[in-house]
Amino acid sequence: MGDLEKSFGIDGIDVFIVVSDINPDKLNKLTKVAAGWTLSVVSNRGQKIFPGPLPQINLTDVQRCRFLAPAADLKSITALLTGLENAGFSWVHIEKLLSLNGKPQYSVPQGA
Amino acid sequence: MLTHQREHDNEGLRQGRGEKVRAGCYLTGMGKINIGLIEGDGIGPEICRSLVKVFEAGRFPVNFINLEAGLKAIEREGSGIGAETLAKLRDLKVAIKGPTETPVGGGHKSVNVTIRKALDLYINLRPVQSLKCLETPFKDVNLLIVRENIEDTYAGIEHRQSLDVVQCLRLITRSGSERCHRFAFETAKKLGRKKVTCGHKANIMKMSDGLFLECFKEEAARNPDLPSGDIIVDNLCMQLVSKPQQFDVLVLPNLFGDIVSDLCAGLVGGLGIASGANIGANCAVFEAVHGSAPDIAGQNKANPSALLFSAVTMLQHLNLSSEATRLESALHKTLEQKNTRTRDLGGTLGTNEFTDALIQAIKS
Repeated sequence: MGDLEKSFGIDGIDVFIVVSDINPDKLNKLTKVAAGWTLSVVSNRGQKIFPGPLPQINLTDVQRCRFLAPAADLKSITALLTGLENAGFSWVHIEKLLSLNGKPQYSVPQGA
Repeated sequence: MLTHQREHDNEGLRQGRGEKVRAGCYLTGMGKINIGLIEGDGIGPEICRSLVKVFEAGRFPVNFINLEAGLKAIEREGSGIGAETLAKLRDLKVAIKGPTETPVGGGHKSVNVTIRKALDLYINLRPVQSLKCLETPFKDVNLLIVRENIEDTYAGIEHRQSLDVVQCLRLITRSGSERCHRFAFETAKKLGRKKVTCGHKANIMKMSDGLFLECFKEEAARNPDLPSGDIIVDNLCMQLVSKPQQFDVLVLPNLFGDIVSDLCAGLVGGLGIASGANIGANCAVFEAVHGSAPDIAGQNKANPSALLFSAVTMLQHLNLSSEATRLESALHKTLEQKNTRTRDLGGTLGTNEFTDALIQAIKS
């Protein structure tokens, strides 16, 4: 167990994917990329775009996808990233979602 | 219920006067423009009452539609501004608001941030002008701060990485930067301004601020008739507190814009008279920058000037230039005389009495 896991729980990961022209179909596809993971929220420059209707705002081509899973580990994270790539999504950055004594150590998108 | 019609063309015509109002705004059957009005909290309701009274007395062609946000909305629906109110704002296209409070704790999001993000109000516009009624070290300050209002560190993307380290992601995009600079140059030209200067820290943040600066230079090249330049933001702050008159229009990314616009307000007397506008492609919300001042709420002490100056910017936005000029001139005239100022500016008038004095100035 590494230093991180000794201190923190891991709730899931934020995966930043590059998708131009994000739309409801692509968002729906994201919900099914890997078993055992729940797509909690997708945001664009910090503003929630999923769940719910796509907001009428200027959208850039990077979407932050928050995937949650109990006790996420290397194996399940790898399965998620593989699932994303197999579904045709390019991921560019991930951040682990840490919790400390059950308290989330990550911010919530606007509108979520 | 008043009948109204929406303008479909790029230019709308107001009945009887032949003046062009901003496209897309609702006109009532009486030729007035429907504007959303959010009273807000604390002194918000009373300064908004002042605004409405001034507009009625001046016969400005505006019909205010009351919308709820702030503490009352939290009590009623658990959120500082509800989805229905946001939808109405989007539909009305123009609104003006008093200050709203965000309770500490309870996870409540700022109403201002919610409005900006939900309606994609990508510009925060802050006019900063010396007032003769206020003694400050600086005279003849006349700045216009254009602040990018959506991205930068205000995307709010933060993660803890270890017990020692927390990270905040700063997003700068080409699309966001381009439209910000386009707005800055277009507005500068519309208002007859003389120079646009970009504040940045591209010497350190070579990629993110580098991109913001690159987009600025591209827009400057498209506007060769308007002088422009750039300056490192710390030098900008030093220059502003030394010789602010050397600047005209400033355009900055979100975080620096937030800091510099409040610095500039301090040059001319503080946030009590500071006005602001949040502007998007399809919607604009104008506001006084100061807080809700609950300690003086309901006591006839509040100074409505900041909200009224915001209304000047709103009238300019609506292309109601003669109304904007009348209101602005009347504000300056009223504030120039010590005996027609509110107490915070060295006078003796309450909110209501100041409003009456302003109305006299408008009518004269």
